[in-house]
Amino acid sequence: MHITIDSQKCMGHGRCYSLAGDLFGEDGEGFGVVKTASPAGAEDKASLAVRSCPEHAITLSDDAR
Amino acid sequence: MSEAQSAQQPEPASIVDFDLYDPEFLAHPEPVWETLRTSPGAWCPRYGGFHILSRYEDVRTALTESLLFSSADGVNVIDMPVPKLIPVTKDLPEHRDYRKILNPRMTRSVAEAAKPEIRSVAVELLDALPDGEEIDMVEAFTGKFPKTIAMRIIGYPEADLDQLSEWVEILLAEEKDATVAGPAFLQYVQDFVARRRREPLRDDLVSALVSASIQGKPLTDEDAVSMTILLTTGGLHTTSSCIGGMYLWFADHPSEYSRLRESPKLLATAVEEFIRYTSPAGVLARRATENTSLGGCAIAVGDKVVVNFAGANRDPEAFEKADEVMLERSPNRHIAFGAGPHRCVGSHYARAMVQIALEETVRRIAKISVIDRSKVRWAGGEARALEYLPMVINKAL
Repeated sequence: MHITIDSQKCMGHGRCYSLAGDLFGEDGEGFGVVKTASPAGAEDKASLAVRSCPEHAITLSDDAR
Repeated sequence: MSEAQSAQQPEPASIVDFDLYDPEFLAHPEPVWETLRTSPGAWCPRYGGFHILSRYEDVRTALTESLLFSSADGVNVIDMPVPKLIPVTKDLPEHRDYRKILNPRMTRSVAEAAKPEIRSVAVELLDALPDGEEIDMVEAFTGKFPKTIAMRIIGYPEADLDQLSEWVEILLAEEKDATVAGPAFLQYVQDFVARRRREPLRDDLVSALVSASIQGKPLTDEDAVSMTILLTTGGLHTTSSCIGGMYLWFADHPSEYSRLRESPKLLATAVEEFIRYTSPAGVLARRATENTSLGGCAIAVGDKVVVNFAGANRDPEAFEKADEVMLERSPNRHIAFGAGPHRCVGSHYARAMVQIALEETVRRIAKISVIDRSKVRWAGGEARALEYLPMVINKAL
């Protein structure tokens, strides 16, 4: 599993780093940044962040292939 | 004009006439929101006529498509001779330059660092509440707390808080006295900004403004004043109404309040849920820059398009049991702070204040009661703001 944030879409709501601080952080303006791109064992938290982002800016992709 | 006016009539028109100042609507807005969501192409004839988007996905689309649905003509629903405040009435890319000044000063980390001070104000006000006596909770806590914090964050002198509050309350209530209060407040802010340009920088927002540059040029006095006014007025009724709405809900749901008191692990989701449920910044306007359509609604270039944040946050297509408070709701993808480039710049501070208000309330207060539901008063307009909340509280032993 691989996490990405679309920086064009992120508006700094901060839901991701509030809910899953191990996986996401904030930059100097409060926009979300990925801390742990491959969150083995934290799939639920990553999924919660995806489903909480009002901008639909976070994508989880399967990196199995 | 006749051509432009005929273009404003949606086909088929679903005319939904409602009044943002109607006390019945303010007390019980749910049926109106439901009608608006289920009326494709909803059009309200008031204030010159406007389309109104109330379904979650439509509101999100309009907010995200910020150049098609422009803020540059002003964002007030009601046509009032208000100045176009910055940056809420700026479109991209210019908007971004202004937000670069504010964003770093209003991040979640900054709000986290301010929490001890925010908490001490909340605790002082809550400890001063009389036990078992009728009080106006807005004056005693739910309004006073966020107002005190906002004024400090901006950097106003403590001695001026009462006068500032009075002006701002008059302006936000859109009362007749605004013709006097408006110029007096403007003059005060102009003097304040000019004075602070001469003084050493401090750790507050007005210092950030007077030391800011845009495209290599110092921020003008006019822009600094405009931004200061927006910061002053933008966060007061909204945060106040969220905390007040939370108190009102506690009074109506005593067993749920007890459950919250006994289960600290519910607090985090509860904070987000009260922000969704109260959604105090109810509606704001945009202007279409092209002929388009959205949500079954034909929109002509130049039309006023109102985005109904509050209605969208109760959309059953987006939220299970949308009209109920579910303390455990997760995920909670509400858009009470908006979406797109104009996402509320004060959201992290606002959330910190709601969180602290909730934590310190459940710790201290055993029971919250409304004295007479018919006496609860809401101020109308773009924000659905609680202005009078007669309550009795019983403190925890």
